[in-house]
Amino acid sequence: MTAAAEWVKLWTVRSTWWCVAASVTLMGCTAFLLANDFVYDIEHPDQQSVRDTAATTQSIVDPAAASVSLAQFAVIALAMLVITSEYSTGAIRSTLRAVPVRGRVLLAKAAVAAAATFGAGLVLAVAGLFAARLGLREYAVVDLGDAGAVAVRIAVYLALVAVFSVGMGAALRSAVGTLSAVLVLLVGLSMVVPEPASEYMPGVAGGMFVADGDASGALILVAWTGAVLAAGYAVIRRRDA
Amino acid sequence: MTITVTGLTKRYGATTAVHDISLRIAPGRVTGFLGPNGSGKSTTIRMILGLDRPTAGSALVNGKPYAELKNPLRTVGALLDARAVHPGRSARNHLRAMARSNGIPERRVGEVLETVGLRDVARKRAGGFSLGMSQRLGIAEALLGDPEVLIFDEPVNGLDPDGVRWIRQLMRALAAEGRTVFVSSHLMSEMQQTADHLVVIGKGRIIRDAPIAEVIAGSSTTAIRVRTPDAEALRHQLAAATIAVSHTGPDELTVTGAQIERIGDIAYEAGVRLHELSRRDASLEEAYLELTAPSVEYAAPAPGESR
Ligand SMILES: Nc1ncnc2c1ncn2[C@@H]1O[C@H](COP(=O)(O)OP(=O)(O)OP(=O)(O)O)[C@@H](O)[C@H]1O
Ligand SMILES: [Mg+2]
Repeated sequence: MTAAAEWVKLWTVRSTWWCVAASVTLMGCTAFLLANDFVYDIEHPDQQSVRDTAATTQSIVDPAAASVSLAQFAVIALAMLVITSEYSTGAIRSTLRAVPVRGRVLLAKAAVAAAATFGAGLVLAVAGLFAARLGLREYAVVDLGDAGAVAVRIAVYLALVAVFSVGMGAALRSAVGTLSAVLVLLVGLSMVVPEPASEYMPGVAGGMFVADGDASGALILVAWTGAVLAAGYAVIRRRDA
Repeated sequence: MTITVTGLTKRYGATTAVHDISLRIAPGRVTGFLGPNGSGKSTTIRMILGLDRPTAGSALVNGKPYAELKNPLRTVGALLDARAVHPGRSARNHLRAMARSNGIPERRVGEVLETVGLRDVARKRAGGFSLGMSQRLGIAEALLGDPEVLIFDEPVNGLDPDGVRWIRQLMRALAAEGRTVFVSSHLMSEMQQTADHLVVIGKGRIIRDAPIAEVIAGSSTTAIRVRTPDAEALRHQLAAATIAVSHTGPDELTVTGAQIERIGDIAYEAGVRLHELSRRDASLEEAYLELTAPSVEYAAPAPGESR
């Protein structure tokens, strides 16, 4: 019942719809541009001082997988708003009066954000694959099995990132603080932590999982997500609403 | 159902917002919760509702902590800050989600919106509501689960006179049905017409917990007026009986802190002729101001007084 109520709440504010639309648009545009870039490089070898690849074709999976790192921002916004908007508006007090068992509220919010972003993830993965196909033109390699697998991985990755953002929102409450912390952990750490250790950072590990189906990457991201959710639970359980 | 508060204490850092209060809020009557700004009313209410964790003590609803109530909205309805609704969500969708979380049938949403007079704006975003409309939505939310216990923190805030009268009648009706109604307010004239019982709190401590009639009768501003040609003689007799009395006119005395019968008896025994013996009740406002005068924390300087 708690999750059903959270589901109603999620889809009865406009920001959710805006975020879904934004993530699909970001995904499509980025995948198309990346694909276009690849084609341009092939067709204009003279303008390339350094060619980073000798490939003359590309799988539509590659631009799609690479675009997730941008499209995820809209998904993070959607997920963190599930909880930070309640603190900023005071609606959390209505929520906790209705369901005073705080762990149940947090789990319901995480589950709803995960379910919504998993669904949205499939949609935007398909949008990204189509855009990549369009952008790559005759240089595209299409393998439906690969495409299906990457779509599921993108959806799983985004669902995990959503839970991560909900946990962070519960821990920090403010939208600005939550967004900053999620970006630092997901993007910032990947850039400042040096090579071998960086593979244990959530952003890098998640990226490896999306691109190559790397199972250890998935596990590392799951561990990070669990830790952040636990931190969120520790705060929401103790602190005054 | 009874709300039982025992030794409830809440500290925020160095400030003690609520200091060791114990209360029993009984069903079938309206209990008014009065106190100056910052005296701890809202904090007490938040602790009863399980939103704030007490530093010490406990608050039980029907013998259980709020957090252990199953589907709490069906037992306790509450109005806290009116604007505790996501501004982008419609009134109806807000209530639908609340109803769903507690297994309340969806038709209740329409019913309570009708009750509070928001039916026509049910699909409008709550962010566009006026203060009074937000307050009505909060009241609709409190009524949603048809609860036995109702807690309102300053419900008349922002309501128009019609709304004020409506909420007074609503609270009276809820108490008459045997429900427990606990309401904080700063509007004394309103409370005087609504409450049966009063809890007055100042600086986080209980100053008075008594039926409203007792609070008013106990005020030193509840006075008895005596008119008699033998004012001086009677004054002596009363003073001898250690009754507070003052000369307020050539043939008029004002007596405080004594029963009217007692004064009549003393006059009779002294053979003093009376032309008038009447009681002038204090207003709740006078009684309240007298009770809380020592515990007002945020007083403005009187007009003309320099700071
Ligand atoms: N979250 C908080 N953090 C710190 N101090 C707080 C907090 N909430 C309340 N207080 C303090 O506790 C005291 C009691 O506040 P409370 O809001 O309960 O008073 P109140 O009786 O409801 O006042 P009012 O009539 O103005 O609504 C005040 O001194 C207030 O500053
Ligand atoms: Mg208050």
